[in-house]
Amino acid sequence: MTASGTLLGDGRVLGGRAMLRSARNPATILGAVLFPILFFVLFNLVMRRIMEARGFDYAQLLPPTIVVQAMFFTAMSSAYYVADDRRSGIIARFRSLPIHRSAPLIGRSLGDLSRATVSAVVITALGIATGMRFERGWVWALAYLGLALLFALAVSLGMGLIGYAAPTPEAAASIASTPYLPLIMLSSGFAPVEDFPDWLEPIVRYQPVSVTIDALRATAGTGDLGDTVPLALAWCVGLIIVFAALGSRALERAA
Amino acid sequence: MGVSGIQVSGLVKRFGETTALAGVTFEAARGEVLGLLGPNGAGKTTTVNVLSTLLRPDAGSATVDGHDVVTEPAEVRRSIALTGQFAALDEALTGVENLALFGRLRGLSGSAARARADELLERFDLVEAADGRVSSYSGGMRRRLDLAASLVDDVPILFLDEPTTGLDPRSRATLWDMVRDLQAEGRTIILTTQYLEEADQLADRIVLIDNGKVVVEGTPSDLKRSAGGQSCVVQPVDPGRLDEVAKLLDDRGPLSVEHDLGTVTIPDTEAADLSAILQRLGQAGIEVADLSLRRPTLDDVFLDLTGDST
Repeated sequence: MTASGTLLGDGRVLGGRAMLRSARNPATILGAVLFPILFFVLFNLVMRRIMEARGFDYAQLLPPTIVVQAMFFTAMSSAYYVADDRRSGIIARFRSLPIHRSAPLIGRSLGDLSRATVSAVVITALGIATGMRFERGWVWALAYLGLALLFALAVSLGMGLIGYAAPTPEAAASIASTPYLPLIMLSSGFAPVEDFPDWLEPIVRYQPVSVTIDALRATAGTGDLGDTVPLALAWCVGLIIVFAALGSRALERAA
Repeated sequence: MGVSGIQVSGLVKRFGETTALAGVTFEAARGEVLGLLGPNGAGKTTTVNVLSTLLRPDAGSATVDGHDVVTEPAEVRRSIALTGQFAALDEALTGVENLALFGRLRGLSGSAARARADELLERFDLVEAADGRVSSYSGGMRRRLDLAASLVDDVPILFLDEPTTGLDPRSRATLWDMVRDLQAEGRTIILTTQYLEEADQLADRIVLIDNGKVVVEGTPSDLKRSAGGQSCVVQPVDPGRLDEVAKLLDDRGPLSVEHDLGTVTIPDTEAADLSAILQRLGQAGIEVADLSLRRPTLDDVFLDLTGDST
């Protein structure tokens, strides 16, 4: 008999717990599905004609933006859940169990990814209903979903860190909702990069949210794959490595 | 005593400027209920957190069920279960789902975890609440489920960190019975509490901690004895005659006269002495309103030794 459980076995059990917990929290569904749908509909009403008049194919451009935005919404719950687990003391109990020490991190990520998957699929279906096409075929459509989830994982690991640092779950939730707004507004998501002031343009162009949105658009057929996908992968994988390492350390110290 | 049970030697733990543990040493024999008693902030929970591998000590060592908490944390975790100060359960899950979760995390298969959960719900009188979410549970039900969650695996050592804090007297009595049953099964239990009565009721031995140090240890009766024997409290009908009472009885040892209470306390008195005391007071024509024997309580020990009011 081994002294500790396996990472995947324990992670899966804790992932099941995270999914059950999400499914029973109406606020989670709101963030993962209803808000993104609302944004999708509103942006179509407000911006579609303006952008099409400027020659942009808005049916292709908007869904990746809303998917990335939805990945933020789903990840924000993660900050709340981590802080809530600290408050209830269940994190300490997990740590006193003979399980793999990173299993709680894996479990939480599985829960976050399940919400993100639902969200990304719903928004993409809505996009297809309003004219979006995967012009490079279904393999690239899967790559699109995979990249969206990779981005979701990076953000949710980052949000988890807020959950470890915040004094209360409520504080965690409000801190977690802060970085999203500047990152998504100052990106290629809603306005072309060229429209930003010159001094801001390089930041807007190369920050992770823009890079990910551009790569998602490219996998669906708009833009060059080679210019966008490697950069997006580098950003997402880099953030995942850094945030996961910091998250494991924070978990070790949570008592 | 061998290597099982718990041995703690010179534990030191600092948090920044604060020294939470300043060299804590004690042992708990296998099958013993050891009460860790002390005021808030004395270092009880820090001690439990070090012993349950949640915190690394800065100095000193500890073995739990024969395993070193620093070098063999995984083995220690296999031998222990921790019931924290706050019932650490998932509020969104039902009682049975919580127990099944902890069963799976202790390596049971899905069906075995479920079967064990049903058994524990039965034992802890939670069958009716099994399918209700924990968020709807009362304080007493949570603590019972919390305790049940510590027993999904048959661990030899249990840490109960203030298991009855905030419970009403009936729920507390129920929980006490459950702890006694756990001891009867041969488990070693470390019980932290600020309730002296709780330690008196449950603990075989008590370790009193204050300011991160062990102040005194012993059985509850040892400790009470150390606070002095029985004393006799005399209350005359006329408080004006207190000094007269004191003069009459001052051959019985150092008396204390409590003017505000209208009483005189005579140390080291046996029941057999009472009639002689009454007789002497009667001969002097002093009417007695109340005469009683008082045993020292753990409160006396606690207040004597911790020095601050709790």
